[in-house]
Amino acid sequence: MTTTVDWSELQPELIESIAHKLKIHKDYIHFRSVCWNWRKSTSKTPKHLPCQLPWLMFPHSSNQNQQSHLRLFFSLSDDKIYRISLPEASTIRRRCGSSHGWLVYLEETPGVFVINPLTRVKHHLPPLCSFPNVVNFSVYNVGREYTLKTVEGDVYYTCSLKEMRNSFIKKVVFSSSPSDEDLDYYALAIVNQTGDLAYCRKGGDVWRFVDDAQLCCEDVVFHKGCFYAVSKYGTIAVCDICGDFSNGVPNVSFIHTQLQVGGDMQYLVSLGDELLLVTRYLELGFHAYKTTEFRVFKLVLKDGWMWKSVLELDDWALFVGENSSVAIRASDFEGCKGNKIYFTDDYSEWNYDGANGDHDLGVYDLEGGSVAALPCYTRKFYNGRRWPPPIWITPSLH
Amino acid sequence: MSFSKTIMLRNYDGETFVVDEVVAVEPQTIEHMIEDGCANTSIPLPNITSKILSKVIEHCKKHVETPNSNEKDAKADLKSFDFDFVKADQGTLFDLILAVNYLNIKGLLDLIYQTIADMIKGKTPEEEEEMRRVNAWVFSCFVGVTCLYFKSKKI
Repeated sequence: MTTTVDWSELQPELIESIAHKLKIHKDYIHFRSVCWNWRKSTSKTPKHLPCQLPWLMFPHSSNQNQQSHLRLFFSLSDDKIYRISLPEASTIRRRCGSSHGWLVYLEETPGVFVINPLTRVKHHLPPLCSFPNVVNFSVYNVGREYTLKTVEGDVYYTCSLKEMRNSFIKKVVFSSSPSDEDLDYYALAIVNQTGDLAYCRKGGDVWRFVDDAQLCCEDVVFHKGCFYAVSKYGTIAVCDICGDFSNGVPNVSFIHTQLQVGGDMQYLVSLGDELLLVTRYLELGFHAYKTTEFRVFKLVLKDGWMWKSVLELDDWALFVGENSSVAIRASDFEGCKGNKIYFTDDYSEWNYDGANGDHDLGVYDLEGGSVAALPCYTRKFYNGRRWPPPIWITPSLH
Repeated sequence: MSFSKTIMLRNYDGETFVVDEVVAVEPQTIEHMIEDGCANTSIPLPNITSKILSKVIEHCKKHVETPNSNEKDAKADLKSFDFDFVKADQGTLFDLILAVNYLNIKGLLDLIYQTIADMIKGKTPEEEEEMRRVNAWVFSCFVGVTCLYFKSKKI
């Protein structure tokens, strides 16, 4: 290729406009490393990039002696494993969310923090002892550090540090990237024992309960400006938490559909303007379980609200598991196929140590109804379950 | 028989191009010049060469002449035209982007942005190194930092 052109001389606004056409992180980073002028003319944290193809964060590997701070992330599009130093993700902490590229961690203190593995930026959410049902916390009550009260408020019970870390919160979902630079964000947590939904906002000190939404605690997703929570049977609670509400109480409305019976787990996925319900079917054996099927529905209004069966997703691929569910357009990314559901192990009913076999994860093909292994899971590389289970995370630079 | 008004464009090399007004106003810059009454005799475009100007006119003409319908064939035809249009060497692309930016033709500008972005997409570090070497770009020291983020190991 012959040329006498000096591309570094291009005007900043043209460089920026070209950069806006890039959809993939790696391409954007390469773009910024072309020359000093191109680097100067483009923002370090691109906000225009669409949601990236999720990486799979592996559990700690068995030989973690010297390099326990390194965590492995598998990228479907590159077919590569990235090793990132993330000492914050040690085994004494429990991960309870992966949303907008940030991981949420609990530890054996009341602290809750979020961290972006790529940028290593970290900050705190309000602590566990700020939940409305936590009446007391004292480190001197060894083994019973937390005192909680039931919903009715009449019975008190205690929990240890470990118990709170392991089972108090099921999942945390964000309305937008919880990065400092950005606008307000809201976090919604599903409280495991009571099924409550609790929320906090950027910079807040406490978690508050969303009243009346206890039953809808299977999964939560941020969709069209509100948090949508689903019950086991398909009822939706629409929680309008963002913005100002006059009496200090967020508005909650319910969408009642026909009873969704069957299935072991429910997920909600936001796909553009549509809300999808993804039902996961497990085959439960003796000390082992595995996913056999997924069924997808979309919320439609026709003589009342109902979940209408969706037989194919065309170019879309869904990513479900412990993470905040994500829908990706497969043709935007290499290594991703449409009409498939990429899933990870998410069965919290069983104490993790007690389960045998391999991790319950793979790719479900909606067309054929079959489950295939993920490309990174070969017998050679991995065997048996390990804590914590793998999780999808959408790599994000902000 | 209908008469369409024509506009004369005079470029860097002193050459004049006579185009139909409907084609000439595709570039917003020219449209504004005409509205402002600066187009009595001819519109001066001193910073654009004949080669580039004739290419731009060709693109504007094609897009004006193709009916603005949702018809599949028309869309496919335009797409194919655009695809061939940007198959140019880097020198032409560079001159084109500057000219089209000056002329302010949104659709064509978008197309060129995408073309250049596609040149960056999916390059391996080795291919990028080659491009850098050929084009003698200044290599930023920040690359080392960005490489650290994506230190990869193939398994």
